[in-house]
Amino acid sequence: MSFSESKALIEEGDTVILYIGVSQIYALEVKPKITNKLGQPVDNVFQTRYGSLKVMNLIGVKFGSKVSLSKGWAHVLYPTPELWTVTLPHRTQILYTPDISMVVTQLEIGPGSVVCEAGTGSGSLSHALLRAIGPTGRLYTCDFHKERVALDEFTHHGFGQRVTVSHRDVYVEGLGVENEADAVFLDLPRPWEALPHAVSSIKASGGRICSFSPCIEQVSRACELMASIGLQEITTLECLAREFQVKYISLPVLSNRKEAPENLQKNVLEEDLLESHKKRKFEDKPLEKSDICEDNCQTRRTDTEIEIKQENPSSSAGQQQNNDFRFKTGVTQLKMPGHTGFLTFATVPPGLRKVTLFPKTLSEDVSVL
Amino acid sequence: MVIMPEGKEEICEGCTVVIQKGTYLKTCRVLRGRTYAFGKRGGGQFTLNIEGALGCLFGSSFKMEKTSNKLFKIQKTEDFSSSLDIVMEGGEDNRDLRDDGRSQKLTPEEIIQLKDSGLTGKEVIQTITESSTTFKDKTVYSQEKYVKKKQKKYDEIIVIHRPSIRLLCNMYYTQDPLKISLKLARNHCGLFFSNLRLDTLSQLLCHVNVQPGGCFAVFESGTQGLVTAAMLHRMGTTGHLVQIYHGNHPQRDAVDLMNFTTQELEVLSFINLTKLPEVAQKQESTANGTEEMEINSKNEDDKKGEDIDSLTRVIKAENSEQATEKTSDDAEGKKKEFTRPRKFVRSQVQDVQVSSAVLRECIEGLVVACRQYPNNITRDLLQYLKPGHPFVIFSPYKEPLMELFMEMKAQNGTNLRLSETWLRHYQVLPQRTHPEINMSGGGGYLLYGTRIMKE
Repeated sequence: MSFSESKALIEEGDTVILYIGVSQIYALEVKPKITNKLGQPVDNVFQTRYGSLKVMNLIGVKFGSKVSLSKGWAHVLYPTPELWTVTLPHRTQILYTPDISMVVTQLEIGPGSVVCEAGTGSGSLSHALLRAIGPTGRLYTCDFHKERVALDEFTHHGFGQRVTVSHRDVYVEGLGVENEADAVFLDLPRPWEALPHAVSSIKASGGRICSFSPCIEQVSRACELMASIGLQEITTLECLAREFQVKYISLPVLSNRKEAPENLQKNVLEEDLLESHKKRKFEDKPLEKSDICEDNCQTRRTDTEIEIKQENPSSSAGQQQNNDFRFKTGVTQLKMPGHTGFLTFATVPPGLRKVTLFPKTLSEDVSVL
Repeated sequence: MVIMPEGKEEICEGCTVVIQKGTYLKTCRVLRGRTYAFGKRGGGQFTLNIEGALGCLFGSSFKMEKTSNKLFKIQKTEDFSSSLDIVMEGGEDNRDLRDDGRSQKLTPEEIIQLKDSGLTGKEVIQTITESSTTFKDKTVYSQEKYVKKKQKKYDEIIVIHRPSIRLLCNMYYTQDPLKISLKLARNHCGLFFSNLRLDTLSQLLCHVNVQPGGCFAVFESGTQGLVTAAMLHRMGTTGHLVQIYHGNHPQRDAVDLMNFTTQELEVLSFINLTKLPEVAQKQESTANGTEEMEINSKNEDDKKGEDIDSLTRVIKAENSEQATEKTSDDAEGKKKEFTRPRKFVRSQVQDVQVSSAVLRECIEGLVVACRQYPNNITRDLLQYLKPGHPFVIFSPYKEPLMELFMEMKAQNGTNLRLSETWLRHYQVLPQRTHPEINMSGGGGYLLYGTRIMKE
């Protein structure tokens, strides 16, 4: 199948994205048998928290429709490089969409572009590059790890015609491309050793280079080299995406007036009921955190209503009662990505004299990484 | 239409370029006999004749040479922002330096005279530093910073870039949008209101999965047509992009700056929000003829593609029969031997036909990026999006997107994410690396997800 085409129905051999919940998204290959951990072929039955799915049952199903699991349901989505990024099997640390998207835009990649990538890693960025260059472009990607370049994943996903994968050590052998590339992307431990190779692979009329490095020392050394070999518009930045969980929140409003004894009793009752209610919820069915909050909020009622409705949590419509302030908000995550890496971009101006030898020693004393 | 030369690498007459001087960017169309004002009103302003760029490669650097008072022509140069060897041995720290405004011995008038006297930028800066009593006592880092600051003011190197989405977006986001739109606007309704920063725009383009050969739709306003231009750039010459717009004119300022070829512009069609077609029903009435098809089987998918193609072929044939090119009204109004490229590759009626055909057969990705309330517009446009395919909604504000999130969660969206991005630039210099002192406070919010079938 191809990530770059669109079709209505799932066929054998397709990669589909199964969406169950916020942190339960999976890429499935629609084939009758898969190899288990022991290397034996077994029936392709996918196990989830909500039951199992016979993957071959997906054939003939429309993309975007609901599929049944033995104890619940899920949706099947058409694969895109972004969905692949969050579901692919990790062989290395990968780049995520905020960085990937910035790279594609800053390198000015479009249909027909010739791009070099070192190293391929798990292919996360590669898929986005392959989409961007289109059927008339070419991606030269390489990695020094033999197994990573032996995969036929790109072909499987419909990108085989656009990509040349090679097994090489970039520091020693270069990128394998001379005077042809529009853009070069480096994700290497010692990008300064690959920069002269990167520059010589860029076409004579100029192009763009990007280096991705987790450590500031790597960035510092790479930028200094870039400036000394004549690259322009050298820019270093980082971007982090922050997600919000949209929920209804109900806050109890306190009064500073003395409560009548009956009312105090009422409040305590509500709390207790709420606690036991929560416990019951945990035992019966695993819910996402957001669901729990919503349901709990919606069950704050007068004591009489709670007594009647305590067995029936989902019937409430959520209103403002008991002086609760109810509102919709975007709740931030408890933990968010704090750092992925620094992105350094630079322009290779037209007619730049290519450096074949390394320039004289850099001013900074940096320990070898 | 301007036909870009084979290589597409050279600056040719009629194409748009982005002129960069220091950190300042400005777009211009290269025309013989035209000059362009640069810089802020007042003393700092000067006029440039950029004919010297014709035939040079995009990305080349040019030296400004004075031809008369305030008027400069440009000459290709190999020096990139002249690296100055002015920095000398410096002091240890600034404990004895007094900032009393009297360390520069030259008066402002003398400096202006220096500049006008024909000395190179390098020489001017050299003279200024020599006349500063405190220069030699500053630390070497401080000296470098001082020289860089003077370079920004007195350097005469400019770089001429090919317009790209990253340059245009940065230009719109950081500079005064009013200045830009007055210079270029054929319609004045496209001011940049929205806070659409480059990282947000980049993520939007990825999440909607825009690529060559696909069918996509975008509703945008308040972003100068930048989203449309960006999507069109990612599509090249194949596929269909429908821009749905509100008001009298489509949003196309940025589209006109990107030097798109006729083939690339043919991918784009426009339709007004009030003219949106009915979605094709599953049970077709045969009376409607070839344009409406069933969405289900693959064979008919191919046939649908053919129908849009045959419609566009018919339109192309009709248009090529019209020998005369439209000369659009020119805001600058000067006499020109050069003919303006055609902005619209088809008539408005044809645009509506093509757009309707594309929408009826359903698109693979939907973008809404507007300064109006996005929710009802999204609801209306979502019906054209194929289930299982992505949509992205941009808003400078979080609240409308939260409303939309809840609505879509209940009805027809899954894998919903509401996010904003934090973007920070770094100054990277030996012993002086740190994040930049100022950073952008906000780049807008994105709501993205996938459309699913309603139950």
